[in-house]
Amino acid sequence: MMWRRLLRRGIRGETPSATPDGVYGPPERKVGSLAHDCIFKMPLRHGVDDNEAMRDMGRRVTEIVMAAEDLPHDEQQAVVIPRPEELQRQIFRE
Amino acid sequence: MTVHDISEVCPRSYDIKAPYSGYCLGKLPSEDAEITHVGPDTPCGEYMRHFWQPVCLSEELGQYPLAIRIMGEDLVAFRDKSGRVGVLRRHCTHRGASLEYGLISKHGIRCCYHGWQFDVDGTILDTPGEPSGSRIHPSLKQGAYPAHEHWGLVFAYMGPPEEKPDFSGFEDYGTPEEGIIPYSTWHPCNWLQCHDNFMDPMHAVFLHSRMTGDQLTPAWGKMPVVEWYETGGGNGIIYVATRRMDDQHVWNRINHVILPNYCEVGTAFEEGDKQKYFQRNTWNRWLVPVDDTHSAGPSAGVISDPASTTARETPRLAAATVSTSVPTSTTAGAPTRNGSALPATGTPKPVSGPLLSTPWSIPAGPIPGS
Repeated sequence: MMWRRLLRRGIRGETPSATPDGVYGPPERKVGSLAHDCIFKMPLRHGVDDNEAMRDMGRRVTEIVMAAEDLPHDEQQAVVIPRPEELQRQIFRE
Repeated sequence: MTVHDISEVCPRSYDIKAPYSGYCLGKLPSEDAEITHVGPDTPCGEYMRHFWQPVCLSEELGQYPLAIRIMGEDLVAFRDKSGRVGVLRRHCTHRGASLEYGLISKHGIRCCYHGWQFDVDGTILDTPGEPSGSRIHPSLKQGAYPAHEHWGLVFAYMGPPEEKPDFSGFEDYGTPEEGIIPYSTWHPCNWLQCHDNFMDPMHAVFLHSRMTGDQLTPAWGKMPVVEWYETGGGNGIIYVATRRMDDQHVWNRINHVILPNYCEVGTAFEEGDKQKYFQRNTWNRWLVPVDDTHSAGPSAGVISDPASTTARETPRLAAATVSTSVPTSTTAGAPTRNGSALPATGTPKPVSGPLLSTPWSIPAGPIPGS
């Protein structure tokens, strides 16, 4: 439903960023995404709701990548990659 | 037999709690044409025409013109003998013959019927048989669309010429050329039914794993926790799916769809047992409407990690690629230009490629990109 709502707003011209200019960006910029995979070592913990722990971890990863959403690929890599590594260390400190 | 108003027969017709309510629920919802119909002058069709759309694979452009249908328009794609790609209206502007049967020339294509020759931009280059002094050359054009090749895909821009955006390309994440693997899929349904699927990670647990055996890797059978977020100020959505792989590891996956019909999804062959951060093996996919009831997926695997399982498996899936060309005759069994035939049902099917009789019969299973 969320996708269809976005599409409908794009079709109706209600979202400035949903135009070709908004999607493609400036001519020197390639269209990129936030798609990726991470595998974390996160041992099951007794007494902890694992689904909640995974949801929390997913939110932390989302914050990291969305903060770099507007960066070109090279800068995005440089900014993002150290942060899941730091997140991994945090998981073990907690 | 009297036909009753369903509200008289079944006053609680939409009470989904009622047992045996099949008859009462028999009314189908109306079509949501605003977001599904794609022909010229439809809202969704006009919106999509403002973006570059992949219309076929570069490797499909060979000795003969390729008949394609995109957003309800019958077209022909070809590479002329100068190496330029043309995407033209399929029917000759002179007498309507199909340019699928045309002769590819050094410059453009020549119609089989009266030999008229059209350049890749639709300019009429030659009208043999017309009297000298004919004014046809300057007064007519064959309908044509700008084309651009990228990643082994042919893109066309089918919108208003004055609004054509630059083609800036798509991010390859540092992937070498040999890591870009074009392929295509074919879907006998509206484009949106397929595109919805990219934001639905739950289906993979069942369709690609528990119900069928592991089509990709066992990791897909684990139930994820999922959240969705808007991106780009409202031009896209990501899903964030996190799965527990074993008592030590969790797999966090983000897939991204971007308006109007593009998506990048992560690797189809994740095993989930080795730590990794921000790996960018992606399937970059477009769901391109063929018409209101068919769609195609000219796409590219962008495999940035050559040591990954995905790098080994992607070419095998891509080998099952299907053509975006469409049968041009409605007569069952009639041969098409590329030598294949319509199935007896007359239902459009992929019409070229070595695995077309059972395009998804390979062990890795159906459409990649979950």
